[in-house]
Amino acid sequence: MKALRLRRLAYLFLCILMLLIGRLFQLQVKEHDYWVQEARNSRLDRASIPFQRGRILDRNGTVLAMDKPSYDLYFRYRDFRRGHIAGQLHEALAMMGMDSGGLDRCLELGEELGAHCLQWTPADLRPLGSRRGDDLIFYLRGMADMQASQWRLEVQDWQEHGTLPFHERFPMAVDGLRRRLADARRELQLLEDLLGLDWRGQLMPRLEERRQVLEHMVLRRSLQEAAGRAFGVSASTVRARLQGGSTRAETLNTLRTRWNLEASAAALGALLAPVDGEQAGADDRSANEFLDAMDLSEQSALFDGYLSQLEQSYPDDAGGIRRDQTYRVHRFRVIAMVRDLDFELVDLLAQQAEDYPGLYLHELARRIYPQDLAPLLVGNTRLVGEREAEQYQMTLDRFLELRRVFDREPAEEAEFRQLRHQLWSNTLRPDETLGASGIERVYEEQLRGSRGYLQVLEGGEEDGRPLELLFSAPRDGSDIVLSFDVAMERAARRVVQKVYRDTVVRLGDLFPETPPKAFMEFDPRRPRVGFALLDLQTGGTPILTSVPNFTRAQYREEFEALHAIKTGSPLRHRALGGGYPGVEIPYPGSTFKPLVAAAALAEDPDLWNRQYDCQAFISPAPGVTLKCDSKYGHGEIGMREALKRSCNVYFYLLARDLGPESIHRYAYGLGFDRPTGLELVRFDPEAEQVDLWKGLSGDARLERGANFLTDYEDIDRSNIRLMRTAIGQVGVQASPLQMARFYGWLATGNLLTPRLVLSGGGGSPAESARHVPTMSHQSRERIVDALLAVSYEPNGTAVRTDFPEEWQIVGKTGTAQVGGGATHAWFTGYFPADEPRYAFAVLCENTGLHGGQIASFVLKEFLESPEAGSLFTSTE
Amino acid sequence: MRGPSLRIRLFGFFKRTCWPVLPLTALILAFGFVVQWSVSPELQMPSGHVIRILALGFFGLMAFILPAKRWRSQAFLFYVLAVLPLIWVLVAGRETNHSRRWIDLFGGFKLQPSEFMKVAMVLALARWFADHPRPARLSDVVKPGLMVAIPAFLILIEPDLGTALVFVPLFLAMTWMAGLPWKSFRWLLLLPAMVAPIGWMVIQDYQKERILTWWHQDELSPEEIAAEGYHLHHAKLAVGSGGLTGYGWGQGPENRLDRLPERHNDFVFPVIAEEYGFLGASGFLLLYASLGITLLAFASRYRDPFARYLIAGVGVHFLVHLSLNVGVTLGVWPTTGLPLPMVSFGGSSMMASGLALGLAVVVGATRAPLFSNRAFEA
Repeated sequence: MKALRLRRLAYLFLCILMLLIGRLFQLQVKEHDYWVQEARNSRLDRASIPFQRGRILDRNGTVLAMDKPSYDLYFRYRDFRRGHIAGQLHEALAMMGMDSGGLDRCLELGEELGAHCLQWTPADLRPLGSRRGDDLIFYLRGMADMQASQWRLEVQDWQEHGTLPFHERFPMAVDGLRRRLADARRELQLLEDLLGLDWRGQLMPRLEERRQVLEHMVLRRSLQEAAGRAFGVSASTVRARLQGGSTRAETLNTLRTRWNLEASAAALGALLAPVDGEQAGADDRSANEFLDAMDLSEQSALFDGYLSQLEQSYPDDAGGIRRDQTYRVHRFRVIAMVRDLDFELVDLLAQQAEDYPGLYLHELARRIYPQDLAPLLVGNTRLVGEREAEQYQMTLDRFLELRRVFDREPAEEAEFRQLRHQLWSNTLRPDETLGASGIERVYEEQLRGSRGYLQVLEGGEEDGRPLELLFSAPRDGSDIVLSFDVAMERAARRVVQKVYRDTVVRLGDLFPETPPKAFMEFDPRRPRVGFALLDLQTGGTPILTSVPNFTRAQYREEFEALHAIKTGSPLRHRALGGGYPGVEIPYPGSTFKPLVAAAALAEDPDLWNRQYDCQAFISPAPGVTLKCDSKYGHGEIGMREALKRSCNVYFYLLARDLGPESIHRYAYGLGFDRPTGLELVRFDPEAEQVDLWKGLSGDARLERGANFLTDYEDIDRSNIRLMRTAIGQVGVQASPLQMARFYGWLATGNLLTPRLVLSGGGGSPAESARHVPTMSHQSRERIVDALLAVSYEPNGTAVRTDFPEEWQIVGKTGTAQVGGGATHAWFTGYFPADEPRYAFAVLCENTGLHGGQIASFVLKEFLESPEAGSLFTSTE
Repeated sequence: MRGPSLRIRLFGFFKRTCWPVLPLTALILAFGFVVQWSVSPELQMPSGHVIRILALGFFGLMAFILPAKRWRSQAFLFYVLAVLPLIWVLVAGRETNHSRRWIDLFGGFKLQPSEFMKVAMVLALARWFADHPRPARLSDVVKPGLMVAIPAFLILIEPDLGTALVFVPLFLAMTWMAGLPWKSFRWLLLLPAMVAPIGWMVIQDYQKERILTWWHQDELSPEEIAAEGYHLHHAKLAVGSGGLTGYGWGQGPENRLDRLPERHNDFVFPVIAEEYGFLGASGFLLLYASLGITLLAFASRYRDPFARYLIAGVGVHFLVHLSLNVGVTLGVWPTTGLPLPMVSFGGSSMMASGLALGLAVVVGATRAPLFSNRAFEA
């Protein structure tokens, strides 16, 4: 009997042994491939090899933008909450369900809040359970400066068996708290002092802002994860379903029903994954607005409410998710705080890292702009935004999801490999920068390189060394060479200031006793000038000057003040004309007359000889008077003289006889209705009509609203509008670059698309597909002859500028009226007449002066500057 | 008149006792030594483990100090002597990882009293059931039950759930061997299931987490694998990637790259599986189990109940450890810390194993009459 029992006992253990061997067989033989793959995956390590973003150079090789190694300050909340007293206080209070008021408040009112925490008894901690109770003890020990291991057992004993409040059991905790607070404040003060004035008293509030962003992220991702569980799919799949369309509505309604929520589907959608643009319906927009009206903490409270409800009522969907997401977000999200720290700060943070838990130095390449010139054109970079960071996270999630699939289908394998390469090479990481504006943005693809990587299998070599599996070399970004010329740009700016100052003297000489009112109002201290120079061989733009301008430091530090300037804003690029306020409307004025002349000669070459009588004004309708610039009239005048002396009456009458059709056709054909085609502003070149306020992309602001041509019907509506259009005063607006482009056509017969980038841009910008008007050789010669006379013949409107003969300046002055402001002064044209090389346009806004009184002098002074010498050298 | 020569006496001794235990033990110790060598840093010979093996031998010989009948007569005294350090450890034991399991001795040595308690428990239960043969009702096993419950409770509050749990199958096996009728015994079997809900309420959160992690071991997220599922996941990585023949001595990546936690101690079996594959690991299991089964087989030969229960108890002791330790590393049972005697790193476990085996051999050599030369006969 006993032996039988022993035998049965032995059988039992033999059965267990068979069970173990069976399990061993399952793991080692049946599932061997899977576990080999899993083990291999878990041993894979990867080193990222950084790339260098391409430089931006001017046409002479002067560096406008480049990468420079620097140290940035980064913040990781996980370490901050574990090591800093403000984080410890906040977390301890939060665990007990109390509102700390944020990290800044925790440090500010540390004694009061800490004293409250130290009053807790073990009975207060018990409801938290074992793990969270241990966490709270960790924070309590931290804030009481009792991290030393000698306290561990005693605190644990207190936690298990104690009854007294913490500070009564450990009286030294009060002093420890004070000491830690004093240390933390002193260290914070030191750091803020080194960071500069802007950071005084600001570091902790900014850390709190970042913490709130992380909390918000944790809560939203938790909700998405819960939705994923509800459907039995991953969170990334749920996010994909919520992109829009019918799947979004269906998904949201299913979730509402499952979770028994009172909130509308749109409100739930706004919480889970808001959509905007065309994807958003009226309900979505309203829900978004409701959410946007809240600040971050209010939004988090809302998220928290929903999540808590789910945790309580639907633990299968939401249980444990918050902890997972907190772990992931707090650990892996590293937030940039301050860029390009100076040596003292780097030294402090490197030497005393333990005093600043959660704050890290991060070495990386910083974009610098050595010339600090033309920021609107060169552009800027920015840190990766929330959207891109979210995109990165989604790609990462999908990659990890696929990585866990053992038997990947061919399509899945292809996707896995593609995602892996994307993630490791191209996908923007949360700590990276990208082009935000200007060339930096438009040529992001060329400037940005791709990270390299080296994937190793830990212990993969025979001798235990890592085995190199995958290597991809980093690809540095391409350099972009601009047609822009830094030296000339600086010369142009210098010249503008000089000409404005000299103009006062010159006007004083002209009108020693009673200067006209407009001259009296001329303010030489605030020049507002746009100056474009167009290379007629390459379409390059050596100069795109806009005065006033701003520095990058001003943009960073005084943006609000700069933005607040309505008239004369330095944020507007005057060579490109966009975004003008009323008094700065870029009417071309008389510089438009050569286009009318060209249209007329194309219709009838004999019009060159037609004479009109200028009596200083005409009255095309009762009560309407259209004036000429000449007070006494030009008398009988032909086209050559009319162009040379800029006779308005001649062009009124010519337009009346010519009719609107050919003028509009020429202006349209020469692209006055759309942006110039400069790479920075994108539009559909095939479109019949371009909405200059909405139909642009890229750096739309640069040419927004400028370069406008009214409808044919509008010009045709009345003779008065037609006549005023003919002198560039209604129905047409043009930036200096647009005018330079037109004069380039006048010089060569080709309508150029300006190019800011000379090489490295990966292809030329789109050419206009439309038909460009032609002009006969005879007509061109006649008009050019007249425009040469503008600069060199007596009574020419620019003759007082006294251009050297050898320059052969073919020019046209203009004076454009703007409602409610002083007139603009223009000087446009090209040089030299014989072999046209450069077209130019100078616009001096709201000077009240004639183009030949100021704008032509800007050109002359510029061409006389040493920097401009090469313009003539290259011609030779 | 001169007695038989020493050689004859030794021959007689080994003939009477369960001698196959000795070569089996030697083989297991050798296997353990090779594995400890494999897990040592830089693959250096583990001289410390040699000392532990010597300690095992020393404690094995210690069993020879007293004759079998004295071990029987003093069994309860040894039980009390084993319980006292369990109380002492709670008062003045060294705390490691939130638990107090060790008593500091001289020269940096430390002792884990619960390991010796297991041997003392086998000894005491063998004596009890030898003195109180054929328990008929549940009430007949209440007192031995209390004998088990007291040290189990003391160990539980150290806390050391794994070791405390060992006492349950040990007690059940001893009670079964003692002859408690099935109709009563089945209630004993159901008892753990009945107290499980209460146990769930009193165990620590981290212990609940371990159980849940084990239950959902195939559905763990990367975060859970990195946290509470870390041990089990890496154990399975090591075992699974070992394949049929393994990576070879000192070549297992999980072992060599220091990725497998506690691989010299509670998780030593995955190293065996990783480096010697299915064939080696199965062979090791058979070898180890054959030690326990051999003890059970020998026990059945003895008419003396004390000898029978003691030898079988020692066998059950090793079989239970094997089942629990290996089962944990393979994900068959929830993760709990339990060494594999004679293979794992622990010195106390090694000494207790030596003592247990010594007792089995000493008591096995008793001149008490045998049932039969054929084991396992009814």
